[in-house]
Amino acid sequence: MLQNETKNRSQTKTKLWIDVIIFIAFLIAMEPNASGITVHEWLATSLIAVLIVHLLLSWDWITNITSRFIGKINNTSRINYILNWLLFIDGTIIMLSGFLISQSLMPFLGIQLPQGFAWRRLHDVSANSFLVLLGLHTALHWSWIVDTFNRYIFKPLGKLRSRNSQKDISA
Amino acid sequence: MRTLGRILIILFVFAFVMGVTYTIVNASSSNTPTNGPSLERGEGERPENPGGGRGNEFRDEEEGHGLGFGLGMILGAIKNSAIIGVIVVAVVKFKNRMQKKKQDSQVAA
Repeated sequence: MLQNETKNRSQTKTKLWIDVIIFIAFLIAMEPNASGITVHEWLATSLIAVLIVHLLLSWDWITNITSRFIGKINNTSRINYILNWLLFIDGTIIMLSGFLISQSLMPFLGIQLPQGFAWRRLHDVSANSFLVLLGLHTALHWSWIVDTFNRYIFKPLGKLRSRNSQKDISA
Repeated sequence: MRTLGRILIILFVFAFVMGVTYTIVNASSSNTPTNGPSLERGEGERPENPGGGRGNEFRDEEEGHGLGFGLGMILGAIKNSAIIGVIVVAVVKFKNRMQKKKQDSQVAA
């Protein structure tokens, strides 16, 4: 029982940090003008590994909702599930179109691909729609985000601050 | 072993979606009428200046000289975070309003 609780807590913490990393990396990858195409491509490609970890940490939820999707589940979970699939498909389209218009990663790997204008347009459109979908995804998990930030970041910081101020007073 | 299996499932779905997208985009661009504006360009070609100022942006992307790494990155991150923030506020407010309505109707009943 206690072991399970500790496992859940560490999983939630890992999830939180991974989500923060994904969010920051996404913000950097969304600005190829500022970061340069090389950073943009390598960062976005390395995000695949982080996204796989994100999915693995939510695996139980995914399998649970997949098996009950047609049956009785609440509307929020159903909308969440559909939205997550849209995010996954959109993310895959961004990756594919990104690989096909790559100027740094693919040439580095020795792969030459024809540069299609259609793929560039698709890359832009899917990246913009990803931003909207990410906003919706964040909104649907807002209470979890606030709760987890409070529990694992703000409260420990507050405790640390009060402990330090007590030390200062006693000194 | 279980984790490896899950990773393979994710990669399989990832590859499947990629394959479907590739097929659809290739089929739709090869079906584009030749007298209309063609979306697919030749091998190795890049858009000269599609849709206005895109050409310069393309060059900036290659060199990473837009507004400089720091300022450009911060401005872009603020813009994107603001878009996400607006969506979050709108959805959370809408959700709260719906919950309140539901609670009110339950109390009234």
